[in-house]
Amino acid sequence: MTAPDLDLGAVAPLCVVAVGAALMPLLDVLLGRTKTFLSRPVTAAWAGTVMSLATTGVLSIALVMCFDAAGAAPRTFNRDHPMILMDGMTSFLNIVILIGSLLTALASGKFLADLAINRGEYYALLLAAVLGMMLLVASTNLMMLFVGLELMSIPIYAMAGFRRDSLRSNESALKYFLVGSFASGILLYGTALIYGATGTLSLLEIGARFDVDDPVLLIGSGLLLVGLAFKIATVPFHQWAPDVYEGAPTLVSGLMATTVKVAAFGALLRVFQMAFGPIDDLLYPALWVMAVLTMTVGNVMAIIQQNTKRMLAYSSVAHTGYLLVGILVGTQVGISAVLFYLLAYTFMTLGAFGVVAVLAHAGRERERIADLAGLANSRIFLAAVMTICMVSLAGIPGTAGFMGKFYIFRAVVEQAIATESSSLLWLAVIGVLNSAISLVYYLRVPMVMFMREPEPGPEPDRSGTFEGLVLAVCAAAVILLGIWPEDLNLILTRVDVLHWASVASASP
Amino acid sequence: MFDLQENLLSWVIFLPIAGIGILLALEAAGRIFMSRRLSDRSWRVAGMGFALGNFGLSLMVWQRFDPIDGGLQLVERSAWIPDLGIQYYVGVDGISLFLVVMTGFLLPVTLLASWTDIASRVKQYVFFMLCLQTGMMGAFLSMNLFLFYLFWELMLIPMYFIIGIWGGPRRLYATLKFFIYTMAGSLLMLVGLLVIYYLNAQQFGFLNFDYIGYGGASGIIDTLIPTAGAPWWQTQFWLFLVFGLAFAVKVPMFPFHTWLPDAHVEAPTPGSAILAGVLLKFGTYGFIRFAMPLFPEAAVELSGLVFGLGVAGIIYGALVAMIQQDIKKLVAYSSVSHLGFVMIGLFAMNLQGLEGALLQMVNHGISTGALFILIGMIYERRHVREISEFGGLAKVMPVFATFFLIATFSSIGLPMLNGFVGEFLILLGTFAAAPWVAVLATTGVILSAVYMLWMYRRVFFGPLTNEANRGLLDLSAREKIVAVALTLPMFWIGIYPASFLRPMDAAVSELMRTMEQRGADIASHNGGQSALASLPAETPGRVSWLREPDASAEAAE
Amino acid sequence: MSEYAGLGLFMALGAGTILLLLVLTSVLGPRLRFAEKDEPFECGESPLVSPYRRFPVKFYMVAISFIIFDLEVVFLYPWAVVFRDLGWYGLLVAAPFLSMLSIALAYEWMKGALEWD
Repeated sequence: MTAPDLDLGAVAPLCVVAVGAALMPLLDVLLGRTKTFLSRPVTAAWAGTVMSLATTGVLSIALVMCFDAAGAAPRTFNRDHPMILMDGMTSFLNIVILIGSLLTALASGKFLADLAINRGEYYALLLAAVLGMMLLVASTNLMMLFVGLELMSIPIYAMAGFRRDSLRSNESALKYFLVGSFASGILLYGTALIYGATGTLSLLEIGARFDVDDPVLLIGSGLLLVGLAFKIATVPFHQWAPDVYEGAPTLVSGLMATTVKVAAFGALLRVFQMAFGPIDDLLYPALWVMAVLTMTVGNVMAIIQQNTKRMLAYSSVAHTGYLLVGILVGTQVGISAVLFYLLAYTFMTLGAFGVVAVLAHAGRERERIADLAGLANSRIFLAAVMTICMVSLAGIPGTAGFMGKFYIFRAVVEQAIATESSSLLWLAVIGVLNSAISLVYYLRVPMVMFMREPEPGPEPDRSGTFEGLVLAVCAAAVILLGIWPEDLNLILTRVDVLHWASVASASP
Repeated sequence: MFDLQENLLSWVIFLPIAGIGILLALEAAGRIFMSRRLSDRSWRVAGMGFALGNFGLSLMVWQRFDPIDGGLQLVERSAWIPDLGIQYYVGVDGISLFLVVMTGFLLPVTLLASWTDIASRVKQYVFFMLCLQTGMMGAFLSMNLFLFYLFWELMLIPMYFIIGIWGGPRRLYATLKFFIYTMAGSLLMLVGLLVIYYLNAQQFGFLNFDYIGYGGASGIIDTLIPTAGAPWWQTQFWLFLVFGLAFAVKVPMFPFHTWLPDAHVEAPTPGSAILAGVLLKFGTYGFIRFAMPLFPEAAVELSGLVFGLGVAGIIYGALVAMIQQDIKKLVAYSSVSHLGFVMIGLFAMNLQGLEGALLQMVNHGISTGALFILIGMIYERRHVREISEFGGLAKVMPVFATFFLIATFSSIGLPMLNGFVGEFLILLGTFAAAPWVAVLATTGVILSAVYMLWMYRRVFFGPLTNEANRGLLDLSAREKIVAVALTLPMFWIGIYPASFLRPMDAAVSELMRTMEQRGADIASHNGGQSALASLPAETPGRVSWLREPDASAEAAE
Repeated sequence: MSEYAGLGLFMALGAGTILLLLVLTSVLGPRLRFAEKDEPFECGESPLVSPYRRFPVKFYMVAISFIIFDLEVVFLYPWAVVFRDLGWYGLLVAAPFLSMLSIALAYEWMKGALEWD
C-alpha cells in the first residue's frame, strides 16, 4: 500500500478555513464558560466581537495564502486524480470569496448583537460555507463540484433562517432550502446522465469524449446547466432570489448575493471551459436568450420594488445577466472581464447590503426604500457609501461597476468585430440599454436619501467601528477599482485562464 | 508632476476637486480634533476661492495659447491603463480654448450670484459645484476618448444632485428625466466607441483610445472607418448616428429636447446657468470635436437631416418660447432655438459657419447664463416667475432692468453685442452651403426678437400693476458685480470679436483639412466608390486593413 | 451483457412475486369495512390524543447525536480492519476525521446536549 501523491500545500488555504470552521464552535462554548477560568464572564457583546474577529483572522490567513498562490504555477491536490486544481483562476476567485466573506464576518459582530441573534454557530456556518465555495471554484470533477456545492449551500440554508423568531427569515430559509435542494437534484441527475454517457466525471475527460450527437449527454449537460443556473439565479430560475434575500438577515443576503454567486459562477466557468467546448455553438443561442432575459427581467422588475433588499435582489439578477454576456463571449478577454466584474460586483453589492444592515439596528428595520428618506441629513457617511455603491451598480464612469461593464462590453465588441457577428453586437447594445433602464431604480436611492425629507421618528444609529470600516473599505475599493483598474487588470492578464487545461490534463 | 507650467491643464481640471479634498479633510480634522465643524460661510468663501483660482488658471491657458498653431497645445500625456491604450491625455486647441475660459468664468459668477439664494446644505452645494467643474473642464480638455467619456458622464452626477436637492417642486421628476435622457444617449455611444476602438486596433495592430495620434502614434482620428462594404454596424453612417444621438440629446436638438424645459424650470438658478451655459455646449462640442472629424463622409451625407432638424428646432423653439408664461421656460425654449443655429453653423462645414458656431456656443453660454442668473435675482425676491406677475419693474428696479435689457439684446443678436457676431457668421456660412436653410433660419432671428422683446415689455414696462412688486429693492452691490461681470464679455465679443476668432482660425482650418484628408484617404483605400459598391469585401487594400487573413480567405471561398 | 442476466432474472422474480401476492390478496382476500376498523389501533383501545403533537426537543438531540455518531462509526469499522496494513499513513489520514468527531463531541458536551435536564 503506497501513499498517494498528495500536495497538501496546494490546498493549504482550504485547510485553514476547514480548521477554523471546526474550531469555531469550541471557541464559542469556551467564551460562554469563561467564568470557570476568568474572574467574571465576558459579556455576550464581547463574545460576539471576539468570534467575529477570530473568523476574520482565519479568513485573512487564508486570504494571504491565496495571494501567495495567485502568481505561482498551477497545482493539483492529488496528481493521480486531479479533482482539485489550484490555478490562477481558482486563486483569484478564492480571493474574491475570501474578501467578501471577510468583510461580512467583520461586520457581523454588531449586526448579530443588534438583532439579538448573537450565536457563535453563525461563524462556524460562515466558515463552512466559505470552505464549500472555495472547493466549488477549485473542482475539476463533477463529484467534487457537487460536494463543494452542498458544503456551500447547507450552511447558507441555516444562516438564512438564523433569525428563528422571524417568520420571514424562516420562510426565506425554507424557500432557499427547497429550491436549493431541487437544484441540487437536477444537477445531480445531469451529472448521472453525463457519467452514463461518457463514463467519467472529470470535466476535462468529458470535454475530450464529448459526442455532440448523443442525446443523453446533451440532456445531462442541459440539466447540469439548469442546476447551476438556479444557484446564480438567471431568468427563468430566479424567482426565489427576491423572497430569500428579503427574508434572510441582511448580511447573509449580502453573502448570498456576492460570494455564493461568485462561487457558482466560478463553477460555471470551469464547466464551460473544460467540458462544454464542443457544444459552444449549440449553447450560444440558448445562453444569448438567457442573458438578454436575465438582464431585462432583473432590471425591469427592480424598478417596481419598494423594499431595498428586494430591489438589490433583482439588481443582482440583472448583474448575473451582464456576467453571462461575458461567459457567452468565452474569449480570454471575456473571462478576465467576468473575473474583474465579480470582484467589482462583490464590493458594491456588499457595500449596499452593509448600509441596509446598519440601518436594521435594534429591531427597527429600515428596509423600505422610503425609509432611507433624509439619510443624507442624519447620517451622511451611510448616505455617501450607499450613493457610491448605487452609482457603481448603475455603471457610471469613475467606479468599479463601470470598469466591469466596460471590460465585458469591450470583450463583446472585440469578438463581434473579429467574427463579424451582429448578434454579439446586439448583445452589447441590449446590455447598455439595460444599463440605462437600471438608472431608474439605482438613482432613486440617492434621490430618496438626498432629496426627500426624513419621516418623523428616531434617527438611525451610527455604524459601529467595524461596520464603518467595512463600509469605508467597500466604498474606497469601488472608487479605486474604477479609477485605477490597471494593477488588477495586470494580475488578471497573468491569470491565464486557458492555460490550466493543459496542466491538469498533463497528469496521467 | 505638480508644476504649474508643465501641467497647466491638469491644474485647471483638478483644482476644484482638490479643493473639495482639502475642505473635506479640514472638516474631518475639525470634527475629530476640535469637535467643531467648519461653518457654511467658510465653505462658501473657500469654494469661491477655488473657483476664482480655476478661472485664473483658465485665463492663463488663454495667455499661453499660441493662436498660430492649429494643433493641440499644452499637451500632457501619461499612461493610465496602458494595456487598453487608455492614457491620461489632455490638450487644448482653438476649438476648446474659449469653452474652457467660459466654463472657468461661469463658475465664480454663479457661485457669487447664488451667495444668498442657496441657503440650505451649503457644504453639499459647494461640493457638487466644484465636482461639476472638474467634470466639465475634464471633458473639454480630454483627448483620449475613454477619458472624455469618463468626464462626460461624471458631470451628470453633480448636476443630478444640484437639480434634485435645490430645485423646484417637480425637481425629482425633472432631474431623473435629465439624467436618464442624457445617459441613455451616451451609453449607445459607448458601444460605438468600442467599435471604432477595435477597428483602429485591427488597422494598426495595437489598442488605442487616443483621439489624435501624437508623437508618431496613430490615434482614433487616423482610423479608416468604412462608408460601405463592412457589416452595417461598422460603417460611418451608423456610427455617426450613434454618436450623433448622444450629442443631439445633450444639445438638445429638436425631437430630443423635451428634458430641457423640465430641467431648466425646476433647477435652481446656478443649476440652470451652468446647465444652459456649459452642459448644453457638450452636445455641439461633441459634434465638432468627435462626430464630424471621425465620420466626415457620414456627416456630409447626413447634413441634410441635421439642417432640417436644426431649422425645425430654431422655429419650433422660438414659437413655443413665444407662448410661455414662465420666464425661465421661455429662456429654456430660446436655448433650443439658439442651439439650432449652432448646429446648422457646424454642418455648413465652412470656415464662417464653424467659427460662427464656436463663437455662438460661447455667446449662448454667457447670454443665457446671464438671463438665468438675472431671472434668479428676481425670483429670489418674489419667488414667482410668471410674466403676468410682473410689469413695470423698470420703475422700481432701474439698474436690474438695464442689465436685463443688455442680456436680452445680446440674446436677440443686436449689433455691438456678442450674439450678433455669432449669428451673422453662422448665417453667412450657411448661406454659402445651403441658402434655403439660411433663409429659414433667419426667421428664427426675427422670432427671437419678437418673443424676447415682448417678454421684456411685459415684465419691465407699463404701469406697476402688482402691489407685491412695489417694494422690490434694486440690485445689491454683490448682484451688481455679478451683472457687470456678465455684461463685460458681451460687449467685448460684440465690439472686438477678433480676439476670439483669431485663435479659432488655425484650429478650424486644421479640422476642415483633416476631414477632407480623411475623405480622400477613404476614397483611395476603397479604390473609388464604384468599385466598393460592386466588390464589398474583396476590394484590394480593404482586406489587409479590415479583416483577419484567414477570415478573408473564408469569405473568398 | 450476459453477466447481468442473473441480476435481471433476480429483479424480474422479485417484482413478479410482489405483483403476484398483491394481485392474489386483492382478488382472494375477504373485505369487510366498518368505522372502527378505520381508526388508529392502540393496543385495542381508542386513541386518547392526536398522534400529531410536539414532544420534547431532547429526543431530537438524542436522535441526531445517534445518527451522526453511528454513521461516523460506520466509516471507522473498515478503517479499523485494515489499520495494520495502512500503518502510520492510515493514522495520519484518519486523524482529521477523528479529531473532527472529538470536536463535535466536545461541543455537544459543553453545550449541554448530553444532559437530560
